[in-house]
Amino acid sequence: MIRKGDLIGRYRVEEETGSGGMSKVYKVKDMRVGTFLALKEIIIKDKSFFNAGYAEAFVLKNVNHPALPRIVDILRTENSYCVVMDFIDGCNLEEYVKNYGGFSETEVIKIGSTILNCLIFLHSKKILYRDLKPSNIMLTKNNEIKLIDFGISFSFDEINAADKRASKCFAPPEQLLGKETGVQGDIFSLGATLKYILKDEPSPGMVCFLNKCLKNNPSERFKSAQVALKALNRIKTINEKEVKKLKRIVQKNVFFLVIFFLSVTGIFLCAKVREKRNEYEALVNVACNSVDSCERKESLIKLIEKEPSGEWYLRLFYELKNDYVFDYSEAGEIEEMLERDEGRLKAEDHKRISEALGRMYLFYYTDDENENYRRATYWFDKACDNESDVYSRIGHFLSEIPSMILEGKDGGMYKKYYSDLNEIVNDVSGKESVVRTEVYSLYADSILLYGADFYREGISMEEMRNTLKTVEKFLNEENGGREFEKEKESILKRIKEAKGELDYVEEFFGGKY
Amino acid sequence: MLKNFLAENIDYIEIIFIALSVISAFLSVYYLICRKSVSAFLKLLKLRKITGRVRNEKK
Repeated sequence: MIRKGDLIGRYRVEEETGSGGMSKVYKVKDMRVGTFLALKEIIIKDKSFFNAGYAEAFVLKNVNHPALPRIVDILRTENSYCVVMDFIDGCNLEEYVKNYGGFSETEVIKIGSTILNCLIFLHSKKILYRDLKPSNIMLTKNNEIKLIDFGISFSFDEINAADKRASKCFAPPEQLLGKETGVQGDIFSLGATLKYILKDEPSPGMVCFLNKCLKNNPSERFKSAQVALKALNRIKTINEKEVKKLKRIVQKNVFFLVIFFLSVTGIFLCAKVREKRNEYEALVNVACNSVDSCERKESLIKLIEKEPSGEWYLRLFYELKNDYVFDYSEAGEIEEMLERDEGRLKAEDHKRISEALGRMYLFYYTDDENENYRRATYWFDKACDNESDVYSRIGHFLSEIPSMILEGKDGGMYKKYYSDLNEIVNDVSGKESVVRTEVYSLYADSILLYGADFYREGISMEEMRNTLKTVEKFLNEENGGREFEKEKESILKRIKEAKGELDYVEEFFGGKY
Repeated sequence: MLKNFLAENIDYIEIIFIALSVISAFLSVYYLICRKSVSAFLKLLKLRKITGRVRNEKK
């Protein structure tokens, strides 16, 4: 019986570190060198126990591997046999699993590789370990793996088939049945050990490896530790392949789901576009074909809001001047709309609209006479940027003439104005009646207001009378709605007054100019 | 330009979308049921978790 403080040879017993069925292990100090070692005392109860201790010493003294403890000494006491070997400071894998739950698969692969390398070495020396289990594998503080307890290891030549001291959970079935074991027995124990120390569910690669290790029939297991090591190193590749396969399935499904949702969104958007298109077509239909002028106007305003274009604006102007009145509120609404759509309208459309709006102000704006010419000039200028346009020139004349008269600077302006007026009167002869009415109305008004000035600046009475006659003839031939008739009557009245004015000028100023 | 193209060809575009949705729905269902993509996804997650853990932090 060894006690703490006993001196066995040159080794002083420090403490008992473990005990098993066949032996006790002590931590001892080498009194000569001063290092700590492990002393395994195998009490000789019978021949088999002696054989076990002897076997361990025999096995280890002939081998030298980083994963195996080194035999330092073999001593014999009165009733025991002591094997002095390296002291391994750490815990065995069974304790580790109990304390921490186990190892991750990556760590298990590393541990398995170390053990398999050790088994390759042992098998090459014709030694079977035969008792591989977590409690026989030490994890040192330096994270090294060491195999301990070679109590039932034997050389291939000395297999004792009747030895049933192997751990039941980790021993191969053939060993438990007392049959002959080979290298496949160690591989079975390795598989069982790795399965035990694995913390999580094994990966597909690991499952394949463990299944092959744990086959009941030894011939179905890995043929050798080398083959098992190769398979263990292939686990990563197998897992990567599995990941790739699963990824492909998931990616394809996600792709099709995305396409499905995009298509459904596309169908929904198409329905929306179609709805909008139908709505737009209905508006166009009302704007072009409705008998109700208000309805047409409303539709045109909605159309302009949706898609501003020159065509819709011009149609709207046409609707607005149907009653021959372009009032303050209508003008404000149109200018607001144009301001809103300035960026959305094409330059060409904007020009056409500006010119048409100028004419609207010039011919139909009735709320404020000075304001109509000023606004008309503004829009004509916007349409052509200079006074090259005849309407622009007319607008400028009409807006400037009142102040020029007051300042006495109007001399010489009338001839030019009459020339422009004559140009537009001749220009509209082929155009639609509403445009001609606009111009003829302006002509009649101009003769009425500035007839004497035209005559003074050299325009002949004959010419003015002839033009008035042409205008009168046109108006008498033209028939239209109630509004047109009203306007026609008004213009004819002004023509009559203009003729009277010309007669008066001729009579009063005859021969003076 | 694009707006006009869309407005003019909306019927064809809608047909294309309907065809795409039918095909993709069929393939999605095929992958969900026959190729068990949901379990493949869960397996993949598990596998990532297993193989992704390099070291035991408790060590």
